[in-house]
Amino acid sequence: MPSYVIRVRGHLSERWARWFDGMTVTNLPEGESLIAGPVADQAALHGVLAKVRDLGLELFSVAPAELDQEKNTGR
Amino acid sequence: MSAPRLLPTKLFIPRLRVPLVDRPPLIEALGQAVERKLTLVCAPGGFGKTALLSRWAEGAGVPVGWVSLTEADNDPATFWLYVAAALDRVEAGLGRDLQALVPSAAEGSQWTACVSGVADFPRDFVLVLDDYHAITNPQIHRAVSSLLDHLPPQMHVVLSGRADPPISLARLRAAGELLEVRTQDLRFTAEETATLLNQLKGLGLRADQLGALADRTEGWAAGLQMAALALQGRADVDGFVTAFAGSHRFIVDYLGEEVLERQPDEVRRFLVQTSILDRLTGPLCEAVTGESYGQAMLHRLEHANLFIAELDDQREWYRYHQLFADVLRAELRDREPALEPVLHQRAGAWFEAQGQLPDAVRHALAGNDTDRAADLVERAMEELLARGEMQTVLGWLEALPRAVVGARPALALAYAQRLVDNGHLDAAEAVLQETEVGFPEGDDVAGRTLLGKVAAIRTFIRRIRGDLQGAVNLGLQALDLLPESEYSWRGLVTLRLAGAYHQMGDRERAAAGLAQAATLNHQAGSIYYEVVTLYGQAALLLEEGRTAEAEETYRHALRLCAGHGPETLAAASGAHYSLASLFRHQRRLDEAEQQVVEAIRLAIRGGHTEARIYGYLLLAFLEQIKGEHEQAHRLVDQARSLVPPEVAWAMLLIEAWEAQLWLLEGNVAAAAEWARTSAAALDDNLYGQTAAPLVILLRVYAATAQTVPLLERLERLGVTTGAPVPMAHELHLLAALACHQAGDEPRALEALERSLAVVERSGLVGCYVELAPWTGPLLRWALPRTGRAPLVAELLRMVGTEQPGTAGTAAAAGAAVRQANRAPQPLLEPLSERELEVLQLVASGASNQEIADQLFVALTTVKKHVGNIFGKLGAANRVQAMTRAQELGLL
Repeated sequence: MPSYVIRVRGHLSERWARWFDGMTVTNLPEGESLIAGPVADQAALHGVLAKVRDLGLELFSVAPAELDQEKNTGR
Repeated sequence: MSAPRLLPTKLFIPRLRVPLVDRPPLIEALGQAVERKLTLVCAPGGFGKTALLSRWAEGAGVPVGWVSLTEADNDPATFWLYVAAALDRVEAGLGRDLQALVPSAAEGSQWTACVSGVADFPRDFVLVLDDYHAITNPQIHRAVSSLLDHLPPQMHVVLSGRADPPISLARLRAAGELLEVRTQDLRFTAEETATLLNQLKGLGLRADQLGALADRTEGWAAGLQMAALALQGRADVDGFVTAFAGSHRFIVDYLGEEVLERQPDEVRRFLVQTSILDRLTGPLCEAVTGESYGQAMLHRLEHANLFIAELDDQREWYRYHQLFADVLRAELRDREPALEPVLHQRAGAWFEAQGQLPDAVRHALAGNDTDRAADLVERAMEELLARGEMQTVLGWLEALPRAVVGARPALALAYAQRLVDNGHLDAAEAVLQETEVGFPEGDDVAGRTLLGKVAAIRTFIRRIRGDLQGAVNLGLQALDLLPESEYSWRGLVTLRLAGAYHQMGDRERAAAGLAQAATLNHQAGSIYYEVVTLYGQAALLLEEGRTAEAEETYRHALRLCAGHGPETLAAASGAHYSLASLFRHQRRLDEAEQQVVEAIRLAIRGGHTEARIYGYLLLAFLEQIKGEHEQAHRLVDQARSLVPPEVAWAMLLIEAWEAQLWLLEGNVAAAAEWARTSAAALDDNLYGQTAAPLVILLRVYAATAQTVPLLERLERLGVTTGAPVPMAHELHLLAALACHQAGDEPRALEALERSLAVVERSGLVGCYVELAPWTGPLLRWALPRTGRAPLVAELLRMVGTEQPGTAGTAAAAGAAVRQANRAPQPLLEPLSERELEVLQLVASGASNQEIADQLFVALTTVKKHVGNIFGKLGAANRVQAMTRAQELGLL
């Protein structure tokens, strides 16, 4: 199953992990959060994005996990 | 007694009893909605879209129809039923046409009934579709696009949602017909923030505090509301504002927690537990929470402005604002995950007791109560299917575990059938296999019925796959198993069997099967299949050249349809088309034109694109025969415009008819080019969708003396060996032409005699005249040699007076000259399809009343159309309008 990392504005508390069906929520120092984890397929990914949208979270980026990792290590 | 199907709460214009901030600039901006076709209000949740729109609707000064959409409305049938109901709220009866059409409508065609239903309404009105982002079905998006393209001038649409709707907006924008209210517009200004927090909530905040809150929330209405709730009665305002302003925490998270924490225990419990509900009312809440103060609590929440909105006028039904509900649900899932399914089950039980089956199903599924859900689906299924809400049923069946479906024969069969309807044949087979495994070969009626139905569905699958022998075997099996009383199933199986026999060339069994099917389908009361059976019988009759009987059969079908409503439009259109086609082949050209025009009219009304295409093509051909080449090609282009190029069968058909037009014009080279490029795509099949193009291909071969490929094809089709074939009169004629060209005189004569035998008893002379340049020499050669001299002489006479090849060229030349002398100015605003229809009728000399009668609209509507037409053409009266229209090539 592919993994995705979704970057949003604002820090999320632990409770949202269950809302996002078992993905992990990580708060970053710059006031952003990462919602990351396995996503069954494209349809499921759009489902997660719909949840992000419906919560009113500002969406910064969506990327497959490996790519995001590269971005991080490149810093 | 079943509960009303449509929820009035979804049609109610939402009202928040909380005092709202007046936002005059936005209300004023929305005022322009009545001057545009489409208004978009797009912003994430919590920006006050619904509040703004409902406020505007109150004072709009025009009637407003409203639908609050949810996921369940992705079934096109459900969607359009709600639109119809909303139209009825604008004015009683406005949605009647649409409502009547929904159960039987062809895919994607419901919007046409929406347009025709409102065409006569004399005032401006608005249709608001709130939460449009809930719609994800592309079929609905396409239909809404089409609706907007053909929107009557007095109708205005507002789409409100959290995302821009995936429909094409560019054209509307360019034409100035689009009004947009976006996130930026909806943000609260500093002034509005002050009004909300200090005046309405009485918080008495300082300017710098207001500023901090405004900055942090960025004018987000829900954020401000939550902050107000969190601040109420709080002693340390400064502390809160500073902490809040300095926090990175997601606002909804932060404030949601703050608000929840400050609630008394019983309120918090109530909120969290009832958060699973899409809509709330006292007794339902009591059932879910197990507490006894449902309605009182709801009123208390309303009083406290806890993000609860009314769904009706009686303070009975409410709903939470979605954001707030999400916070509550997240809380529930986090703290008491095991409770969630239990709550859903309780809700499901309550809805079931109320007879609200769709809600009961949804909650049962959400509560993992699959057995109860399956039972509910079984109960609700028939009614929904009768209303045309097939996708809803399919959605439920797919949500249920396969094992659960498999254990219930009614569900499994319904599932398999829906899958077959949608073309998922392998999936359907899989379901059927599972069903069989679950049920032993019972000898009782129930067992045999089940297995009979399984065999029946398998028959359909084989038929669709083209496995004729397989279809026959299974069909016979099914008939053996199905009890006598299952008229509907037996009728359908017999019909499909007859079709298989026909394609296999077994005319006798096909005819017998059709006769049986006619009786069964009549007994079952399924008029649609009764008519399809009649078509099958007519086709057989035509093949035997029994044209008079075939004609009577089609007329019988029309009489059957006349007694019924819009669900027979497709069938009636088909009957008119078949008659038109028959008359064309009999050279009864005026009658042919009458029939095809009627076929097109019904196809437009019913939204049946396929039927329209066939109609336009035949009409084009008839125009060509009259020498109206431009009109003919225009009609072909019109047919082309109805279909995206990816639809292969339609392109094949349209190009074939176009090639036939070229042939009639004398442009043999173009026709030959078409033949060269299309031959490979045309199978040796005289029964499928490619049959008509195939025959046209053979004509072109004959006309271009491509004797070898022509004879090869005819051989493979069984024509030269004398097997029974459809279109025998024409195919044998083509064989005669080919043999004659090849110098094989005996065989040419033999083939010609075969053709003439059919022509003699059927009157199907059309092909002889249409192929005049080539049939002429053949007939002259045959005259002294034939046993049917009088017939051949008559044919020669008909062929002699018609020289389509040369007449075509002359007419084309004349048209070219006329064209050159024109200097048409393109219209600034093109005529709509409806206006073109009216124009044609005006040109044919019909009075306004006659036009009204023909088009089934009010006289006032016709007058309005005529007025618009004059305006667009810049004409002062009918004569000027006709002249101008002719100049522009509109007639």
